Amino acid sequence: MDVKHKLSSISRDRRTAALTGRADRVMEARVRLTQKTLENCGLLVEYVRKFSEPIARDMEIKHSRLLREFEHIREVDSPNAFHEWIRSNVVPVVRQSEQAASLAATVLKKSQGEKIDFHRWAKRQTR
Amino acid sequence: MAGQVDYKTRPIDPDFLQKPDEYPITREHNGHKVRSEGKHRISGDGVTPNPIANGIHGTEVAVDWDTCVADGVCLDVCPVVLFEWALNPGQMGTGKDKPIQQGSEEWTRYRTDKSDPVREPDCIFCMACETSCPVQAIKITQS
Repeated sequence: MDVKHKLSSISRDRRTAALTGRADRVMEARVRLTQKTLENCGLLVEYVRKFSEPIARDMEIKHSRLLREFEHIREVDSPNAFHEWIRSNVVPVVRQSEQAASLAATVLKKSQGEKIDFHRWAKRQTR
Repeated sequence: MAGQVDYKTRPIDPDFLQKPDEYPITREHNGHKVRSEGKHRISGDGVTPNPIANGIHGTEVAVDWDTCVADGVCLDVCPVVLFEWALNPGQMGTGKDKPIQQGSEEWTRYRTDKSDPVREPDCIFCMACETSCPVQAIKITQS
Protein backbone atom coordinates (compact mmCIF):
# COMPACT_ATOMS: atom_id res chain seq x y z
CA MET A 1 0.00 0.00 0.00
CA ASP A 2 2.96 2.35 0.56
CA VAL A 3 3.76 2.16 -3.14
CA LYS A 4 0.15 3.05 -4.06
CA HIS A 5 0.17 6.04 -1.71
CA LYS A 6 3.46 7.17 -3.19
CA LEU A 7 2.04 6.84 -6.72
CA SER A 8 -0.93 9.00 -5.69
CA SER A 9 1.36 11.60 -4.21
CA ILE A 10 3.58 11.76 -7.31
CA SER A 11 0.43 12.02 -9.48
CA ARG A 12 -0.53 15.14 -7.54
CA ASP A 13 2.95 16.60 -8.11
CA ARG A 14 2.57 15.83 -11.80
CA ARG A 15 -0.78 17.62 -11.94
CA THR A 16 0.57 20.69 -10.16
CA ALA A 17 3.47 20.79 -12.61
CA ALA A 18 1.09 20.49 -15.58
CA LEU A 19 -1.16 23.28 -14.31
CA THR A 20 1.81 25.60 -13.85
CA GLY A 21 3.15 24.79 -17.30
CA ARG A 22 6.36 23.16 -15.99
CA ALA A 23 6.99 20.55 -18.69
CA ASP A 24 10.33 19.61 -17.06
CA ARG A 25 8.59 18.88 -13.76
CA VAL A 26 5.86 16.89 -15.54
CA MET A 27 8.53 14.73 -17.16
CA GLU A 28 10.35 14.35 -13.84
CA ALA A 29 7.10 13.20 -12.21
CA ARG A 30 6.46 10.71 -15.02
CA VAL A 31 9.94 9.27 -14.51
CA ARG A 32 9.30 8.96 -10.75
CA LEU A 33 5.92 7.33 -11.42
CA THR A 34 7.57 4.79 -13.70
CA GLN A 35 10.31 4.14 -11.15
CA LYS A 36 7.67 3.40 -8.48
CA THR A 37 5.70 1.26 -10.94
CA LEU A 38 8.80 -0.85 -11.62
CA GLU A 39 9.45 -1.07 -7.88
CA ASN A 40 5.89 -2.36 -7.48
CA CYS A 41 6.51 -4.94 -10.23
CA GLY A 42 9.46 -6.22 -8.21
CA LEU A 43 7.20 -6.67 -5.19
CA LEU A 44 4.68 -8.54 -7.34
CA VAL A 45 7.41 -10.91 -8.52
CA GLU A 46 8.23 -11.78 -4.91
CA TYR A 47 4.53 -12.27 -4.08
CA VAL A 48 3.96 -14.57 -7.06
CA ARG A 49 7.11 -16.53 -6.14
CA LYS A 50 5.26 -17.79 -3.04
CA PHE A 51 2.85 -19.59 -5.39
CA SER A 52 4.88 -20.38 -8.51
CA GLU A 53 8.65 -20.21 -8.99
CA PRO A 54 8.49 -20.66 -12.79
CA ILE A 55 6.01 -17.81 -13.29
CA ALA A 56 8.00 -15.60 -10.92
CA ARG A 57 11.21 -16.33 -12.84
CA ASP A 58 9.55 -15.42 -16.12
CA MET A 59 8.31 -12.15 -14.59
CA GLU A 60 11.73 -11.49 -13.07
CA ILE A 61 13.51 -11.74 -16.42
CA LYS A 62 11.16 -9.19 -17.99
CA HIS A 63 11.35 -6.94 -14.93
CA SER A 64 15.15 -6.97 -14.95
CA ARG A 65 15.20 -6.04 -18.64
CA LEU A 66 12.87 -3.10 -17.95
CA LEU A 67 15.08 -1.86 -15.11
CA ARG A 68 18.09 -1.84 -17.46
CA GLU A 69 16.16 -0.03 -20.21
CA PHE A 70 14.76 2.47 -17.70
CA GLU A 71 18.26 3.64 -16.72
CA HIS A 72 18.80 4.60 -20.36
CA ILE A 73 15.36 5.96 -21.30
CA ARG A 74 15.09 8.20 -18.22
CA GLU A 75 18.02 10.22 -19.57
CA VAL A 76 16.27 10.82 -22.90
CA ASP A 77 14.52 14.16 -22.60
CA SER A 78 11.57 13.34 -24.84
CA PRO A 79 8.09 12.85 -23.36
CA ASN A 80 6.91 11.19 -26.58
CA ALA A 81 9.79 8.70 -26.69
CA PHE A 82 9.29 8.00 -23.00
CA HIS A 83 5.57 7.36 -23.46
CA GLU A 84 6.19 5.09 -26.45
CA TRP A 85 8.67 3.09 -24.36
CA ILE A 86 6.04 2.78 -21.62
CA ARG A 87 3.41 1.70 -24.14
CA SER A 88 5.60 -0.86 -25.90
CA ASN A 89 7.69 -2.23 -23.05
CA VAL A 90 6.35 -1.37 -19.60
CA VAL A 91 2.63 -1.91 -20.24
CA PRO A 92 2.78 -5.65 -21.15
CA VAL A 93 4.97 -6.45 -18.14
CA VAL A 94 2.86 -4.43 -15.68
CA ARG A 95 -0.33 -5.99 -17.01
CA GLN A 96 1.03 -9.54 -16.79
CA SER A 97 2.51 -8.98 -13.33
CA GLU A 98 -0.71 -7.54 -11.93
CA GLN A 99 -2.72 -10.37 -13.51
CA ALA A 100 -0.46 -13.06 -12.06
CA ALA A 101 -0.51 -11.50 -8.59
CA SER A 102 -4.25 -10.95 -8.73
CA LEU A 103 -4.87 -14.56 -9.77
CA ALA A 104 -2.65 -15.81 -6.96
CA ALA A 105 -4.45 -13.61 -4.42
CA THR A 106 -7.87 -14.69 -5.70
CA VAL A 107 -7.03 -18.40 -5.55
CA LEU A 108 -5.63 -17.91 -2.05
CA LYS A 109 -8.90 -16.28 -0.97
CA LYS A 110 -10.91 -19.14 -2.49
CA SER A 111 -8.73 -21.71 -0.72
CA GLN A 112 -9.54 -19.92 2.52
CA GLY A 113 -13.26 -20.37 1.90
CA GLU A 114 -14.11 -16.97 0.43
CA LYS A 115 -16.79 -17.04 -2.27
CA ILE A 116 -15.26 -15.98 -5.59
CA ASP A 117 -17.18 -15.43 -8.83
CA PHE A 118 -14.62 -16.20 -11.53
CA HIS A 119 -17.15 -15.41 -14.25
CA ARG A 120 -18.06 -11.92 -13.05
CA TRP A 121 -16.15 -10.27 -15.91
CA ALA A 122 -17.99 -12.24 -18.63
CA LYS A 123 -21.34 -11.33 -17.09
CA ARG A 124 -20.51 -7.65 -17.59
CA GLN A 125 -19.74 -7.98 -21.31
CA THR A 126 -21.29 -5.02 -23.09
CA ARG A 127 -21.31 -6.77 -26.43
CA MET B 1 -7.10 11.64 -34.51
CA ALA B 2 -6.31 9.64 -31.39
CA GLY B 3 -3.85 11.32 -29.09
CA GLN B 4 -4.52 14.86 -30.25
CA VAL B 5 -7.16 17.51 -29.60
CA ASP B 6 -7.37 21.17 -30.60
CA TYR B 7 -7.19 22.56 -27.05
CA LYS B 8 -4.85 22.26 -24.09
CA THR B 9 -6.13 19.50 -21.84
CA ARG B 10 -6.24 19.85 -18.07
CA PRO B 11 -5.43 16.89 -15.78
CA ILE B 12 -8.39 15.42 -13.88
CA ASP B 13 -9.10 17.06 -10.53
CA PRO B 14 -8.05 14.38 -7.98
CA ASP B 15 -10.42 15.89 -5.41
CA PHE B 16 -13.55 15.93 -7.59
CA LEU B 17 -15.42 13.61 -5.20
CA GLN B 18 -15.04 16.17 -2.42
CA LYS B 19 -16.54 18.92 -4.59
CA PRO B 20 -20.16 17.91 -5.33
CA ASP B 21 -21.16 21.49 -6.17
CA GLU B 22 -18.46 21.74 -8.80
CA TYR B 23 -18.90 18.16 -10.01
CA PRO B 24 -22.57 17.23 -9.52
CA ILE B 25 -23.79 13.80 -10.64
CA THR B 26 -25.57 14.45 -13.91
CA ARG B 27 -26.49 10.93 -15.09
CA GLU B 28 -25.52 7.25 -15.15
CA HIS B 29 -23.87 5.58 -18.11
CA ASN B 30 -22.86 1.92 -18.57
CA GLY B 31 -23.25 1.26 -14.84
CA HIS B 32 -21.18 4.19 -13.59
CA LYS B 33 -21.93 7.75 -12.54
CA VAL B 34 -21.20 10.77 -14.74
CA ARG B 35 -20.34 14.09 -13.12
CA SER B 36 -20.42 17.58 -14.48
CA GLU B 37 -21.58 16.63 -17.95
CA GLY B 38 -22.75 19.68 -19.90
CA LYS B 39 -20.51 22.05 -17.98
CA HIS B 40 -17.68 23.62 -19.97
CA ARG B 41 -14.85 23.52 -17.46
CA ILE B 42 -11.62 25.52 -17.79
CA SER B 43 -9.04 23.97 -20.11
CA GLY B 44 -5.34 23.48 -19.51
CA ASP B 45 -4.48 27.06 -20.45
CA GLY B 46 -6.29 28.19 -17.30
CA VAL B 47 -8.44 30.71 -19.16
CA THR B 48 -10.40 29.20 -22.07
CA PRO B 49 -13.30 26.82 -21.42
CA ASN B 50 -13.03 23.33 -22.89
CA PRO B 51 -14.86 23.17 -26.23
CA ILE B 52 -16.45 19.88 -25.08
CA ALA B 53 -18.36 19.12 -21.88
CA ASN B 54 -18.51 15.35 -21.47
CA GLY B 55 -17.83 15.28 -17.73
CA ILE B 56 -16.09 12.72 -15.54
CA HIS B 57 -17.12 9.08 -16.01
CA GLY B 58 -16.85 6.76 -13.01
CA THR B 59 -16.21 7.19 -9.30
CA GLU B 60 -13.46 4.84 -8.05
CA VAL B 61 -12.16 4.58 -11.61
CA ALA B 62 -12.76 8.06 -12.95
CA VAL B 63 -11.96 9.16 -16.49
CA ASP B 64 -12.27 12.84 -17.35
CA TRP B 65 -13.65 12.71 -20.88
CA ASP B 66 -12.72 16.36 -21.44
CA THR B 67 -9.08 15.36 -20.86
CA CYS B 68 -9.06 11.93 -22.54
CA VAL B 69 -7.44 12.01 -26.01
CA ALA B 70 -7.98 8.33 -26.92
CA ASP B 71 -4.33 7.41 -26.45
CA GLY B 72 -5.48 3.91 -25.46
CA VAL B 73 -2.67 3.00 -23.06
CA CYS B 74 -5.16 2.60 -20.18
CA LEU B 75 -7.07 -0.05 -22.15
CA ASP B 76 -3.81 -1.86 -22.90
CA VAL B 77 -2.42 -1.82 -19.35
CA CYS B 78 -5.54 -2.65 -17.30
CA PRO B 79 -5.07 -6.20 -15.93
CA VAL B 80 -8.82 -6.71 -15.49
CA VAL B 81 -9.85 -5.18 -18.83
CA LEU B 82 -12.37 -2.78 -17.34
CA PHE B 83 -12.20 -0.11 -20.07
CA GLU B 84 -13.85 -0.13 -23.48
CA TRP B 85 -14.02 2.51 -26.19
CA ALA B 86 -17.12 4.63 -25.67
CA LEU B 87 -17.89 5.14 -29.35
CA ASN B 88 -16.80 1.64 -30.32
CA PRO B 89 -18.54 -0.50 -27.65
CA GLY B 90 -16.99 -3.89 -26.99
CA GLN B 91 -13.68 -2.80 -28.52
CA MET B 92 -10.53 -2.48 -26.39
CA GLY B 93 -6.93 -1.49 -26.95
CA THR B 94 -4.79 0.96 -28.84
CA GLY B 95 -5.96 1.60 -32.36
CA LYS B 96 -9.45 0.22 -31.82
CA ASP B 97 -10.95 3.63 -31.09
CA LYS B 98 -13.53 4.96 -33.50
CA PRO B 99 -11.93 7.41 -35.95
CA ILE B 100 -13.73 10.74 -35.87
CA GLN B 101 -13.94 13.06 -38.85
CA GLN B 102 -13.06 16.65 -38.00
CA GLY B 103 -16.15 18.86 -38.22
CA SER B 104 -18.58 15.96 -37.79
CA GLU B 105 -21.28 15.89 -35.09
CA GLU B 106 -19.19 13.43 -33.03
CA TRP B 107 -16.13 15.67 -33.37
CA THR B 108 -18.12 18.64 -32.07
CA ARG B 109 -19.25 16.61 -29.07
CA TYR B 110 -16.20 14.44 -28.30
CA ARG B 111 -13.18 15.41 -30.45
CA THR B 112 -11.85 11.83 -30.00
CA ASP B 113 -13.23 8.50 -28.84
CA LYS B 114 -13.17 8.13 -25.05
CA SER B 115 -12.04 5.46 -22.60
CA ASP B 116 -15.11 4.19 -20.76
CA PRO B 117 -14.78 2.40 -17.37
CA VAL B 118 -17.59 -0.06 -18.12
CA ARG B 119 -16.52 -2.65 -15.53
CA GLU B 120 -15.59 -0.25 -12.73
CA PRO B 121 -16.39 -2.72 -9.89
CA ASP B 122 -13.68 -5.08 -11.22
CA CYS B 123 -10.87 -2.61 -10.41
CA ILE B 124 -8.04 -4.08 -8.32
CA PHE B 125 -6.58 -0.61 -7.67
CA CYS B 126 -3.20 -1.30 -9.22
CA MET B 127 -3.17 2.30 -10.52
CA ALA B 128 -1.47 1.29 -13.76
CA CYS B 129 -3.98 3.28 -15.84
CA GLU B 130 -3.57 6.43 -13.75
CA THR B 131 0.21 6.38 -13.92
CA SER B 132 0.47 5.54 -17.62
CA CYS B 133 -2.10 8.01 -19.02
CA PRO B 134 -0.11 10.61 -21.00
CA VAL B 135 -2.56 13.43 -20.24
CA GLN B 136 -3.51 12.41 -16.69
CA ALA B 137 -7.19 11.91 -17.45
CA ILE B 138 -7.67 9.12 -14.87
CA LYS B 139 -7.96 9.16 -11.09
CA ILE B 140 -8.22 5.97 -9.03
CA THR B 141 -9.82 6.37 -5.59
CA GLN B 142 -10.08 3.30 -3.38
CA SER B 143 -13.03 3.76 -1.01
